[in-house]
Amino acid sequence: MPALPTQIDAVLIPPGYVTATDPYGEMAQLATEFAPLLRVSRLIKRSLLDGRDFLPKSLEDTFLFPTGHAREGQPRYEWADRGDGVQYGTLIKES
Amino acid sequence: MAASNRFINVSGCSFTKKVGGSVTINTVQSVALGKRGKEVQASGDADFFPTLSVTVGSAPQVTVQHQNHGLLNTLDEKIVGSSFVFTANDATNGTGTGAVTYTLSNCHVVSHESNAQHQAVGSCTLTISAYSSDGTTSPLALTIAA
Repeated sequence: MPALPTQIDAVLIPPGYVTATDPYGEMAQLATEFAPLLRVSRLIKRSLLDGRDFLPKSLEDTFLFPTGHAREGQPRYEWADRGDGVQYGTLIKES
Repeated sequence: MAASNRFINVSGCSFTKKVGGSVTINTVQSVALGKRGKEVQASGDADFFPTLSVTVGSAPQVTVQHQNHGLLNTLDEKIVGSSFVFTANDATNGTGTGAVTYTLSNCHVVSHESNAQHQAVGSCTLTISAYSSDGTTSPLALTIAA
């Protein structure tokens, strides 16, 4: 298994990972585990088209480089699977 | 106190314009949030029922009912925003444990209609849609205090 990154800028959550079924319970479960890793005071969750949940550090962060960017549609993060489907992402330098 | 998993009232409802700053939406009566899946169906020949039915996309939309008619011009159909935010308050803890804040990025006003009624307070219905920055990430985000 590849080494996990020391700098974690985002987390990907596979479907079925969260056991809570209500919106707050789901967020609370994710916040307990991942807010310290991301070093954020408010956990943010956005869903992706394939059903995974994307936990970025800020509301402006997107999974791919946005429309209009020179690298539009390409991955913004390098992902490392920690072994259970959860992936840790490190931002790719934009230049 | 633990989260009740039920919600009563909405707080912190605001629309941040791309140009012109943030607009607080007060007197909120309700906020309806839908992911609005887009359906495509097909049939042909003598089919009565569709022989194909799939969900091919999603376009989140929010509908706010409020009573502040002064906002009708402030948030009209030409307004483009960077974000729309509201918090669904926990039924027992208010904005504390259990409250969930929703943020709709890249938003714009679709319509803002007023409604007057007999022996009732007139209300306004504000409809807001949004687009994704990359086509993959939902413009709708949930946040809670960690």
